[in-house]
Amino acid sequence: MPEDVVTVLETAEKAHSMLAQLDERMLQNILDLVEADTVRLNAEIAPLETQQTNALQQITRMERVLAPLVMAILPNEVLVNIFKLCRDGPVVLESGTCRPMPLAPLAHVCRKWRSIIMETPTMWNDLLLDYKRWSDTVSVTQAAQKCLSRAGSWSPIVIRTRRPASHGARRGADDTINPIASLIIPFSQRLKTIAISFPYVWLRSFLILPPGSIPNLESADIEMMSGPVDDNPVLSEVITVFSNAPNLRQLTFRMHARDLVRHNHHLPQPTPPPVLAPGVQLPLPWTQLTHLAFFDIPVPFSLCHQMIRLCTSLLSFAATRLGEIDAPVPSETRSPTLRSLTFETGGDPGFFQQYCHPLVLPNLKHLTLSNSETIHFRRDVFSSLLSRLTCCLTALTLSFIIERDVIEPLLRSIPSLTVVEFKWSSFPPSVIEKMMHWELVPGLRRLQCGMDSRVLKLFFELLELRWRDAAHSGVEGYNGIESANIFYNPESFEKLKEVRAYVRGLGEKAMGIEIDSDKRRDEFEAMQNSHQGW
Amino acid sequence: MVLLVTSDNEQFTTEKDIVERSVLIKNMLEDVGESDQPIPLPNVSSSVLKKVLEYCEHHRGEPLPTADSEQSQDETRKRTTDISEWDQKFITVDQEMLFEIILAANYLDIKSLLDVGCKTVANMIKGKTPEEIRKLFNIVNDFTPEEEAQIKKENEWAEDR
Repeated sequence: MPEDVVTVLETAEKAHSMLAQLDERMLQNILDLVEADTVRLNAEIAPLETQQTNALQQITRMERVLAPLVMAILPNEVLVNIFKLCRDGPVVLESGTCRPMPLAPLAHVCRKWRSIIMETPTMWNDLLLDYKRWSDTVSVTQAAQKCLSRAGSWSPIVIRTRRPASHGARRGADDTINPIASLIIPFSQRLKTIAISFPYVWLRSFLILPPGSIPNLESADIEMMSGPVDDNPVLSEVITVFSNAPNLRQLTFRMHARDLVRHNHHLPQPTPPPVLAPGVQLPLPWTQLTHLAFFDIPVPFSLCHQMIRLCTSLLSFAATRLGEIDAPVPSETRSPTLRSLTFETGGDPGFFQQYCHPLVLPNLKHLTLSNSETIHFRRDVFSSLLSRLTCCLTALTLSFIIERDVIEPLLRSIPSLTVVEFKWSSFPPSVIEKMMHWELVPGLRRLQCGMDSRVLKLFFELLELRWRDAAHSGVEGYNGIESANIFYNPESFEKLKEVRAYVRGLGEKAMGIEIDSDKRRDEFEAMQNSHQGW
Repeated sequence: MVLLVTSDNEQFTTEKDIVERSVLIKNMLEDVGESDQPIPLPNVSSSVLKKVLEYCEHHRGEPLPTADSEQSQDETRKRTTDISEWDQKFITVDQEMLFEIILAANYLDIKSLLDVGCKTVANMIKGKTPEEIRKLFNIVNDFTPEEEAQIKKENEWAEDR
C-alpha cells in the first residue's frame, strides 16, 4: 500500500474515533438534561396530582351529600315495596357451605336500608327452605328460625319447603332432629300457608297437633316422602290438626314415593307408607273446604264419595289414584258446588266406571282425566260417565292417548266445550276439519292436541279461511281460538323451526298459537343420525 | 274538567276520568262534589305532574286495582318485575325524575304507576353488590367499623351449626 494512502487512512481513523467520543459526550449531556427536566416536571406534577385527587374526592363527597336527597325522599313503605320486588318471591334458605344472609346486598348498603330490612316483619315471613339432604337440616332450620324471629310477633307466616334430590332424600331422616317440631310447630299459631315436603315420620308430629293450634291456616299442601315406615296409615282418625282450623280452605296431600321409584331403579326402593286405610273417617273441616286434593295417594271409594258429599263448599276435587271399592256402591253422590274434578283413571275402565258411577255433579265445568299408562278407553266409558254427571262441561283435559275413532263422538257428545286439551292424542284430519268449520265444538276457545304434518297443514289452511271469512264479515282477525298448543313431532328440527317461523309470520292474528314438540333439538339430531346410519 | 295547581303554581286542566286514576283526587272530587275550585297539589311540581298525567291518559279506562286484587296478586306470587313496553319507555327518565314520579304516585295514590316506578328501581338494584348499589344511587356507606364487623359476622349467620 502506498505510504500516502496509509497516512490518509490513519488520519481518517483518528478523526472517526474523536467523532465517536464527541457524540457520546453530547448524547450524555442531552440525557442528563432530559433527566433533569423529568425530575423538575415530576416535582411540578406531584402537587397537581394531589390537588386533582382532593378535587375528585370533594366532588364525590358533594355528590354523596346531595344524592341521598333524591333516594332519601322515598318513604320507608315505598322502599319496602322496592325491596320486596328485589327479593322477587320468598326468602330462599339453602343448606350448603356458602350461605350469605338473605337480602344481604340490600341490607349492607347503608344504615337506613339495613334498619328497614331488619325491622320490617313482612320481609322475613315468607320462606322457602331448600333442604339438600334430610341428614343435614340443622343449618336451614336455624337460619329459618332467625328469619322468623325478625318476622315480629303478629305477621302471618308462609313456609314452603323444597324436597331434596332423591339421593339427598335417601340418606334418611334423623328422628332426633325434626324440622317440623323445631321450626313449624312453635310458629303454628301464625301459619297462613304451608307447602311442605317431609318424610312421614316428621310430619306425624304436625298432623297430631291439638285442634285450634293453627287458627290462621288458609292453605296446606303436604307432601309425604318415604322413610322409615311403620304399619300405621299416615292419614287416619288420629290426625287432629285440621279438625278445628277455622280458616282452612285448600288442602292437598301428596305422596312422593312414586317419583323415587321411577328415577332410582338401581337402588333398593323404599316401601311407601300406607296412607289411607279402607273405611277410614278423616277428621277434616268438611263444610269450609273449597279445594281438596290427593295426588298419588290411593283414595278408598267410601272416603272419596264421603268427601264429595260432605264438603258443601267444594269447588275442586282431585284424586289421582283411585283406591279400592271398600263399601257398597251408593245410588248417588251429589255435589251441587263442585266445578273441577281430576281423576286418574287407572288401567281398568270397568273399575273406573264403577268408582265414578254414583257421581252426580250438575255444576261441573272442568273434568281432567289423567293416566300414567297408555290405555285404550272405550267410547261407552266416557258416555256413561258424562251422562251420569248431568253437567255442562266447558273444559275437558285428557292426559293419555285415546283412540282416534273415539275423539269425534266424544267431542260431539259435549257441545258445551270451549276448552279441549288432549295433549297426547293425535287428531285425525276429519276432526280438525269439522272443528274449524264450527261443526264440532263450535265454542272452542282453547285447543291442545297432537297433529301430524298433513293435519297441521290442514289446520292452518282452515284457520286462514276463518280469518278471511271474519274479515269479510267485519270482525278482523277473529278466529274464535284464543290459544292452541299443538304437539308436532316432524322428522327434523329444521322442519319444526320452519313451522314455527310460519306461525310467527302470521303475525298478531296467530298470537296464542304455539307449536310444541316432545323432542329437544339434540333428540331430533340423534334421530336423524340414526336414520342416516340405516 | 278538573283544574289542578302544582307546587310551582302551574295550572293543568284535565278530564275527570283521566285524573281519577289518582285515588287521592278521586276521593277529593267525591268529597267536594261538582266544583270549579282548583285542586292544589303542593307536593307535585309541574314537570312531574305532566308526566303523571301522560301516564294516566295512556291508561285511561283500564280497571283500577282493588284491595282484593292487590292481595291476591301478592298471594299468588305474581310479584314479577316485568314492565310493559309502553310503561318501560315512559319511565325511561333520569334518576331524579324517576324518584319524583314514584313520590308523586305514592302521594296521589296511583297504585299502578307506583308499581311501575318501584319495579324500575328494583330492576336497577337486582343482581348488584352493595358497593355497586351505593355507586348507582350515590349512597354513602355510613356504617361504623363496628357495624361493618357486625355485618361481616352476619354474612356467616347461617354457618353456625
